[in-house]
Formats: sequence, structure tokens, C-alpha cells
Amino acid sequence: MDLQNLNPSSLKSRFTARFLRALTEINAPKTISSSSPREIFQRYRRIKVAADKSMAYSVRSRRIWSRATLWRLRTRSRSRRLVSFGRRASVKTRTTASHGKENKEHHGAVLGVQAEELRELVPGGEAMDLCNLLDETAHYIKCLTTQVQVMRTIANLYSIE
Amino acid sequence: MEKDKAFVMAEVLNRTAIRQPTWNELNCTSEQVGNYFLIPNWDNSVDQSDPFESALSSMVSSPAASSVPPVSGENVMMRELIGKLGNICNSGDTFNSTNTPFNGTPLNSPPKLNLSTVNLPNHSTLAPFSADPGFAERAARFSCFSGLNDPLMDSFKLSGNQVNGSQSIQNSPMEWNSCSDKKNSGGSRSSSPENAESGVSKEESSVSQHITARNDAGTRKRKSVPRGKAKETPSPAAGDTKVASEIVESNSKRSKQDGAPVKGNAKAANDGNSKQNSENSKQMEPPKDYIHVRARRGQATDSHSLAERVRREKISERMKFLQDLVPGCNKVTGKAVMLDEIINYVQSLQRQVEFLSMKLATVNPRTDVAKDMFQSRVSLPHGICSMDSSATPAFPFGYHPLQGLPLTETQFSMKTQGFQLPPIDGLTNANHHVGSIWEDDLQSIVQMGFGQNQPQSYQGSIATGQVKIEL
Repeated sequence: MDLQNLNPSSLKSRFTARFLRALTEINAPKTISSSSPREIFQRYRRIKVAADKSMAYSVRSRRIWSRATLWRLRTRSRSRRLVSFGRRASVKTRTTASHGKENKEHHGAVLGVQAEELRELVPGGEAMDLCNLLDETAHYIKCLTTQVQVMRTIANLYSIE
Repeated sequence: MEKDKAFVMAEVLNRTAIRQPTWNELNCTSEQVGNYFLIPNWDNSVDQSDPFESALSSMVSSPAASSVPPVSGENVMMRELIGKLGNICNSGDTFNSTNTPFNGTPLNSPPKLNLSTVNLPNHSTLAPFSADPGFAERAARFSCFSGLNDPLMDSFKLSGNQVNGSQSIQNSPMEWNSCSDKKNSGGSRSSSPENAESGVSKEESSVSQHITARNDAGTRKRKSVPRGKAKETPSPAAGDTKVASEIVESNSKRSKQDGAPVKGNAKAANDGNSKQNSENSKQMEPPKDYIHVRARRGQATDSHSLAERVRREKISERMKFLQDLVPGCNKVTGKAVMLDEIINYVQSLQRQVEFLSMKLATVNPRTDVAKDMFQSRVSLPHGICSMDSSATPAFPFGYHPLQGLPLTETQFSMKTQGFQLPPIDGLTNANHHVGSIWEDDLQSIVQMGFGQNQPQSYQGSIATGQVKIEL
């Protein structure tokens, strides 16, 4: 298993580098204490955001979903300062999305319903037609699997001790 | 006038709209059929529009007059009709067809379209079966109408008998109903989302039953009634001469509404329905409405239908690619189920990310301990990275903490049922096989991720972990 054979600029390596950097940043200020659920939850959120952000940055802006994710993260970070507003907005969008999905079901377009679901899952999928949506989904799946693998490895390494 | 033309066209197309074996027989047996040339490889189930177009083009290109008087005048009328048909049904197509057949390249279209038809084994078997008895029935009635030669009818009958076996032309009314029933069943079975289609087919069956109740003799009186019925069934639009075209347009519109990426099943059902429409109309005034319906299917010659077909091919191509990506989707056929699987997989992946981030959040506090333990290893980062299994003895101290690692990693690599790892308890995704993914990528990721020479201490620890994994 040569390390030289590994592609240092592959998606995986880029993501891992960024994510580990983010992890160290998140973990650095923490001391050994800090096991309160609230702190853990905060850390969980930060780690999740870091994972998504590092993956999106690894993809640069080549993909619609990565751009959408980055944009979403930025707007969320802004909206966090206005926490209440952000929550209300997100709730509103969710209700409208679900309502739209029900309408689609009534039309009997099963593919439309599933496409709507897929659009909700894939960030930035609302503005894409099915063709591009499938493209984005494929790349998104690939990136998600990479993310899961890296995170799982890291978690295992951490959990050994 | 137009009715006559439509009649002629429908008659011609009727004869040409046979499955390949029957068509071959016809071609051999009757001269007048010689005018209506078909593509040898026409796949009836999928793209009836193409044979239609090719038949039209062949008819246009071959001005040879047939021996049958009623047919002779058809060629001229057919050409006019072809021009008209091009304008009639623009509302889009559900079938893959191109303009080329009209330009005299009919043979090109069917092979291309066979790709999209691969996914429809059901309909390929069903459509000819259901089409044949009805077609034989139509042929029988048509012969009564226009006094066709016996060879033509014989071949039709033969074709009908071949397909159905038990059914005979004498039982044409029953055949018709059974055909329509089969169409209904096929339509309902094939296309769950195509409720409109099945509804149309049911209405058509009612129309057909109404038709079969009448006598064989075609009269003007009968024409209006079934046409009206046919008009009602698919579309509310009115129009005396353009009933079929409207039917066609409404059908195409409905098919479009049913989903932008029209499934092949839906398409085949629509084909069956359009054929049903044509058959219905044929009963009363055989060729006229039939022509319009057929034209609709073959009518995908404008840019809209072309773009539609290209788009559909793209979508199916991407679905296939996704099928490779999502584990365990090889047996799944059909876009709907495939999309469901994809959605489930994406959801599971997202949940896994959340779970892992939560796990990392809980596990992280111990990093300091790990850092201290592997502080000594920091001095040999690249040595660790490039080390082989032979270097293991050099790290006896670090071996203990990492002893658990190779086990977990091997668990990863050997895992085939999905996310059932002990460390990851919360994962509930049991419907995917990730074994193959894990084996290759996991080792590579571990090597890669930790092969980078970063000065951080736990990077060094991870590198040692990597060494263990290699072992």
C-alpha cells in the first residue's frame, strides 16, 4: 500500500484535509471537561457544519449542490445572528415544500413526487430539471459516501482510545 | 374529402401496423400490401410511430400504384395527408420519432429507439399480443368495407391466429373486447402513474364494446357515434373531422402531464391506447381517425419531440449511472422504484453523516489523550506513512491502543450487509450493501487521509493507525 499512489488532490484527500483541520479547530479550545449534553450538541452541530462545508469546499463551486450548500451555510450563519427570523423562515419553506409535494401527488405524476423528494434531499435541487437533478444526485451521492467513509474512519480512530 | 384521405391513410397504416412476422407475411402474400412498406425490424411494442413514419415515407417514396383500385388513389392523398399530419399534432409526443423518416430514411429510426425500448419487456410482449387480435378484427372488418383481396385477409387472419392461438377472426367481437381488456390490464399494470391512460383505455373498451355490438357494415351513421364517443373519451374538444387529431393531441398532452420523463411503460401503454383509439375509429370509419392517431405517435418529428426524446435518453442514461452508484439496485427496474431507492440511499447517507458527526462530537474529548500517547510518533510522520507492515515491530508502544483499530477496519472491509458496525450503533440503514465500497475506499482513505504530512500530532497517531491497518 503505497501512499505515493494516492491522489493528493482527489476529493477524498481534499475533504479529509479540510475536515481534520476543522475538527482540530473545534476540538482545540475544548479541554478534557465539557461533557455536558449542551456542549456536545453544540459541538455536534459545528462538526456537522464543518463536514458539509469542507465537502462543499472540496468540490469548489463546480456543482450546483455544492454552491447551494455553501450559500445555505453562509445565509444560515448570517441568520444565526437573527436566530428567531431564521427559524421561522426555514419552517415556512418546509411547509410550502410539503404542500407542493402533495399537489404533485394529486396530479398523479409519481415521478414528479419522487423528483420533488429528491429535490428536497439534494441541496439546491429545487431549481433543477430532472436531467440535471440526476446528475447532481450522482455526484452528491459520491461525495456523501466519501464523507461518510472519512468521518467513520476518524471516529473509529478516535474511539479506539 | 379529408375524411377520405384519412380513411385511406388509416387503411394503409393499418396494414402496415403489424408486427414484424405478420408484416413479412403480408408483404409476401399480397401485392397491394407492397405499397405499404415497413421497417423489417419494427418493434411494435415500443415505437409504432416510427413504422408509421417509415410506412408513410415509403409510401411517399414509392409511387407504385397498387392493383387494388381503392388503394391507387391513396398515394396522392397520402402525400397530402402527410403534409397535413405534420401540422396536426404538434403538442408533443410520447414516442421517439424523428423527422428523418419523412425524408426517406425510415430505417434509421427504429434501431435507435430500440434502446429505449429495452426497458419494456412487458409491453413488448403485451402490446403485440393485444394488438394482434384487435388488428385481425380490424382487418376482417376492413376487408368487409373495402373488399380487399383474400390473401390480405388471410395473412391478417394468420397473424392474428399466430399471436392468439385460440382466438379466431370469427370471434372478432370477442377478440376486440379481449384486446381492449388486455390493453386495459396492460395499461393499468404497466403504468401506475398513468391513471389517465388507463382511464382512457377503459373508455375505449366501452367504446369498442359499443362498436362490436353493431353490425359489420360501415355506415356514415355509425361513424358519427363512435367518433363522438372516441372524442369524449380522450378529450373534451369538439371537432368533426379532427376528432382523431384532437384525441391524439389530448393523449399526447396527457402523456406529457403524466410526467416529463415519460416512462417507457407509459409510452407503451400510450401506444396501446392510441392504437385502441385507432382501432375504435377504424370500426366505424376505419382509416380516418386511425390515421390521426397514428400520426400522433409518429408525429414526433418536430423539434419539440426531438428534444423530448433526447432528454428522455439522457435521463435514462443517468438513471443507469445512478443504478451503479447506489448499491443493490441492479435488480430494480423502472424509474419510480429506482428513484425511491436513490432517495432512500441519499437519506441514509445524510443520516450517517449526522450520526458520525455526533459521534465525533462525543468522542473528541479524548483526543488529548490520544495526542499524548502518540506524541512520540510525531517525529516519524513520513516514516510512518511510507512504512510497510515490516515496520510494525518498531512501534510496540503504540500497538496496544491501536489494537482495536485493525479489527474495526477489518470489520469495515468485511462488512457486506451495510452499516451494522458495532461502533456505529445508530445506523439503521440495512438495505444497502456497502461491502465493496468499504473495502477499497476505506484502506485508501485511511492511507490517504493520514498519509499527508501534517505536523499535527494526531495526524501522526492516525498514521500509525494506518500502519496497523496495512498489517
